[in-house]
Amino acid sequence: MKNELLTPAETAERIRAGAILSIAGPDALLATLPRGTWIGGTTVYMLTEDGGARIDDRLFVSTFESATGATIRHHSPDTLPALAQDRPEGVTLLLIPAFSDAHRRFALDGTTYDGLFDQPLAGWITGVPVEKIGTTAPAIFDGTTGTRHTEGAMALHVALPAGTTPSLDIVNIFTPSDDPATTFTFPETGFSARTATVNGKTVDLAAYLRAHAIDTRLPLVANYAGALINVSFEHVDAAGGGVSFYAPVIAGTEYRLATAQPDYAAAFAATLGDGGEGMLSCNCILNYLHGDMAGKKTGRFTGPVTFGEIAYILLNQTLVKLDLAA
Amino acid sequence: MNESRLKALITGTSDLSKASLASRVLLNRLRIEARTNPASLPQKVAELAAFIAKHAFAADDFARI
Repeated sequence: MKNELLTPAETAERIRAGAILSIAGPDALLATLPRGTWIGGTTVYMLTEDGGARIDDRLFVSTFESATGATIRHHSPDTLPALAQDRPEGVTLLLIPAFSDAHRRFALDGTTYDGLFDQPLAGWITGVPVEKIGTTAPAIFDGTTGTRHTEGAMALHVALPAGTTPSLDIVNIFTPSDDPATTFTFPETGFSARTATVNGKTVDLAAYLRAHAIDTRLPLVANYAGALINVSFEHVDAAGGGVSFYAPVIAGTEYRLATAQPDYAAAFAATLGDGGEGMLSCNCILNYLHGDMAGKKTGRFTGPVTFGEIAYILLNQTLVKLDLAA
Repeated sequence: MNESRLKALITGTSDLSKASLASRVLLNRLRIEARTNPASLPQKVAELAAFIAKHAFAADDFARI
């Protein structure tokens, strides 16, 4: 795996050479690329070896050098449950536009898709410049046809040489608090909640968050059999309309507010160490914004900054890392 | 891994911190479904058994417990 920041002309040259690529970048640049074996997703935020940055004039290109083949498929929300069917042995990279129906349905139902856990499934939720949220739709691109989509999911199934054992994992810099006053369970599964149970009492969640001055830049953390999985707050409606999240909360699952993280970039750098070169990774726009990561280095784990991460399931405020050389 | 151990895993709360992410996320989903609908436990045990039988990485994950 080779990760590079390339100009559109350099990227086009790579495509024409027949490389198998995943490309992240501005919508307008992705739209100029020639047809080939690539998928693309929109974002202008990147983590580079020089630090986090907004990059409007280049593309983040990941080249699957060891691939022996690739299959690219666009799934509508209705065909999404078949995404793990009939794919070559290797890994799958999945891109889904933020705020789309596919985004919502994958988050809610993805773990029930047949064969989902058979091999590594990594990916990310595509985004837009923050000033364009609500006015411009995030997009995904099918390089084989040059088609741009704002709905559905784009899957790049990468075939790898026999004997390769790729590994997929996550890095979560947040730890859950032990405070029962910030431990929540929810009555229903979904991207929003009006009530939650805290200390055995049902509370109006928005009012409770305000009354306790809870920092909603910190995620809620659930323990998935030893994996710490974040759900981030999207909006707290001051008018009593409830609370929305960037990933679904699961009914009956215990969520604990994360403890404060003084320096996001340093925490990632310390956790990740010197590894990362040659891995596919992505990190969350909320970490980039709340952690003020622009210009700060996070080690050698470079990649797009995204509106959600995928490692079998939808994640928030998490770094995903896919190692093909494992 | 016998059925009673699989059942205990699904109805329990033990962490699989050394296991692959795939095994941890799948087990979490099975636990939620079994908790929500206790009558589905035999199906969840069968699903976990099939997953372990199909994948060497999963067999290693659960053998370590």
